[in-house]
Amino acid sequence: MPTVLVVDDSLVDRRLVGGILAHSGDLQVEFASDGEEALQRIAALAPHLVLTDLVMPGMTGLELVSEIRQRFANVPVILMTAKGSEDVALQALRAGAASYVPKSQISTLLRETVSTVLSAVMEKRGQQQLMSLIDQASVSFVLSNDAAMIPPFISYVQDLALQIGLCDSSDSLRVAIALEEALRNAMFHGNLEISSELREGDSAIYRDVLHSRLNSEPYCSRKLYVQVSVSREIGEFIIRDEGPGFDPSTLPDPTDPENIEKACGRGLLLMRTFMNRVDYNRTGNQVTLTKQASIVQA
Amino acid sequence: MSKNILIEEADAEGKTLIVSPLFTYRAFAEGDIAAEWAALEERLTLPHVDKVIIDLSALPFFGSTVLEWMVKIWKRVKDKPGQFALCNVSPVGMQILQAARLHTVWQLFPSRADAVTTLASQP
Repeated sequence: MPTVLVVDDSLVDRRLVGGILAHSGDLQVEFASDGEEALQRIAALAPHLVLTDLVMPGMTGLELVSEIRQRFANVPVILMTAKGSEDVALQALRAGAASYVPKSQISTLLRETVSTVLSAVMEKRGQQQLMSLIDQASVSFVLSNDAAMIPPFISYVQDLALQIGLCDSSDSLRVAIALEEALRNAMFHGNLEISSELREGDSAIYRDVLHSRLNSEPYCSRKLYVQVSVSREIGEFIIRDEGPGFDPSTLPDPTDPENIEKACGRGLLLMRTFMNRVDYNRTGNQVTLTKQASIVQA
Repeated sequence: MSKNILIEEADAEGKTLIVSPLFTYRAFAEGDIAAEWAALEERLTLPHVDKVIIDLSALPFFGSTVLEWMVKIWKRVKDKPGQFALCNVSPVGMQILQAARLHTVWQLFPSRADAVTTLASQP
């Protein structure tokens, strides 16, 4: 049964709201009389939804919304607002509140609003629960040389790695950085054959060459072939481009003081920093990134 | 048009620029910041501008593209000669700087105020 936490300093209002919500018999209703108590109860109860008054002594409803967004990002908040506080309600929505209900219309709007928000919460929780049951996922992509596809691809892999439990949110950032470097290397240096020296030089010339390669053969027809395989224990990411390849051992060490001002080699360095293994094939047009689990399984 | 790079002056003489990258790591697409980069380059050519602070508070993580961008700014300032510093670097950002060994050549400060105060005391 979904749990709703009602936060209001007025006992009368808590009883009113609690009565409306409990009427249908399909909700467990809990109460807190101020923001501090609400945060403690959220930590203890993990409610599906928080319904809070806007004006309270101490922490205001707006401040409570911000705290909940930071500390319990998956718990939606609905605000109950008094007449004349529409501007503050708007601020709260911008701060991450899911919805608001004017106190004057609580008897007619509250149950419908709670029901709508709870439906979305339950669906999301169900999806998260299902994703956490994935044992292993493998998926292949064929990408063109469109840099705009890199962010959604990385976002997809980050979500997959998080949901399966390969890594925590902090480590998923490191996976994202390494993958971005690998994809950019394969796309720009591999398929489009754009050198680091060109990137380092005049920006206008670099953009002209990039534009030209994106629209001329053989560069524009080349694809990136990406295989992603993720389990709770290990993630393997294989990226192959259709360029001539390169010998990674010939790259200058970017940490050498002599090279520290040069653009060359930092992408590979970051891949090696954030992945457990980085292996190139003999041709140098395929890289395999391996990430061991950062979460110790129970 | 959304702003990708915020440029502020830290002192009345305009000697110290505070540059805040506002683009997200994910939105850092090729050419997207070209016009704003050109405007910053122009500011860096002004003879009285000899100190640059990059405020990374809005960019918790980044890759080699952003590193290259910062290296370009650093080289411009260093050649003047001038001072270059970073502030508000996140833990992941610090790990990236350490991997690239750039933490050995760049001044790093926990806050913008610390960076401004320290650079103001340097010739």
